[in-house]
Amino acid sequence: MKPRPPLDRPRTRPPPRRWLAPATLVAGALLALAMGPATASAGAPSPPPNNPATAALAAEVTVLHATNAGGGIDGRVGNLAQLKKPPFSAYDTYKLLTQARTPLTQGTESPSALPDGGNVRMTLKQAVGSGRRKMAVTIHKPDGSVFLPLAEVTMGTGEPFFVAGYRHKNGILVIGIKLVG
Amino acid sequence: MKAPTPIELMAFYDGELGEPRAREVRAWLAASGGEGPALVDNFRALGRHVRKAAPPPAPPPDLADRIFAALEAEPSGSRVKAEPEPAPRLAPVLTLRPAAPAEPRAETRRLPAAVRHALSATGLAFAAAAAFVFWWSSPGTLGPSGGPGKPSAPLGVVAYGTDVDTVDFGERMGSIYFISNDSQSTPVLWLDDDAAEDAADSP
Repeated sequence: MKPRPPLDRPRTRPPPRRWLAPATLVAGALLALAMGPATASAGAPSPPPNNPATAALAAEVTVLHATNAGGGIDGRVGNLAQLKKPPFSAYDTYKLLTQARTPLTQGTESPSALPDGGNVRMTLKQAVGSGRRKMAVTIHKPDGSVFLPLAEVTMGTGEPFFVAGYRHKNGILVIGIKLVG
Repeated sequence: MKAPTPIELMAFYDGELGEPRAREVRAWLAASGGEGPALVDNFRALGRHVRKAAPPPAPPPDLADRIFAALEAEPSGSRVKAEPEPAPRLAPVLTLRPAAPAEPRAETRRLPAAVRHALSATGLAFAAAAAFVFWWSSPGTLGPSGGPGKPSAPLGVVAYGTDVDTVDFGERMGSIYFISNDSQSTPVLWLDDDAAEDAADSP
């Protein structure tokens, strides 16, 4: 192997600091993350109030008539996959009777009428964080008797829960209650 | 004349049967009509198949030494001389260095300080903007989730599902079901209304 000739020109300049640009970007990103909340709170629009009393919340009450008439699921019901699973699968026919929105105010009982004259009474309670609310529900029959004395649930927006078993015209009522904003 | 055994026939076919037995076998084949020649034909066919199936003969063990010896014995001008590997790599380097300009090439690519600072500031601005977008869109405590007019933290809510805290079924029998649906479960309060109707109907 031939000997390597010596370099004829000494290095007079330091190597270029190519690590400087990426390091600057990383440092900038970390700085921005650290200062992000303060900067945004100063310049961005203020967040919506988390006061349950002032938030425009409503309850969407969907009333279905469940029978075994072989009629399938009403197309107006939409994509309610729960109806195809137990215990709802005990009935093969679901017909949409009513679907109404009832504005809710914290601490105030808000009624929603049922097709036979009964009603669902909902009371919005305190927020529990992460946008979830507590709500109390009672269901009354047309004669004033109580079908469901009390159910307290903690729910978020868009999450339904159901109350079923209310006798109605050779079937039952399935009452879906969903919090909407 | 004693008829040859198959082993003797094979030896005869291979030319390995000694005299005078080979002469006797030859006479027996001539006198035996079709039987003897048929046996020999079988041995011939068998030999063909064996030669076909046999692996090719291995090269002699000293083949490599003979090749190198032959190469060494050739005159040096009659074949291309193999150069050592590092020499062609070093040649262009030694040629280019004297031809390079006085300043190193890296110097000509170096951006002016003002441009470098501007690029750094742009990177900082992009990083800050990305952090702001990330902070603005994430639910929870980092910032305002959702936009104006929307309920807070819709993504976090979906992960929870509805919880049933308290249920009073009153006089009725009731059950609580949870229907699994995707990432959450939907509670169902199922009340037995038949008993109440029966009680109402009874005198």
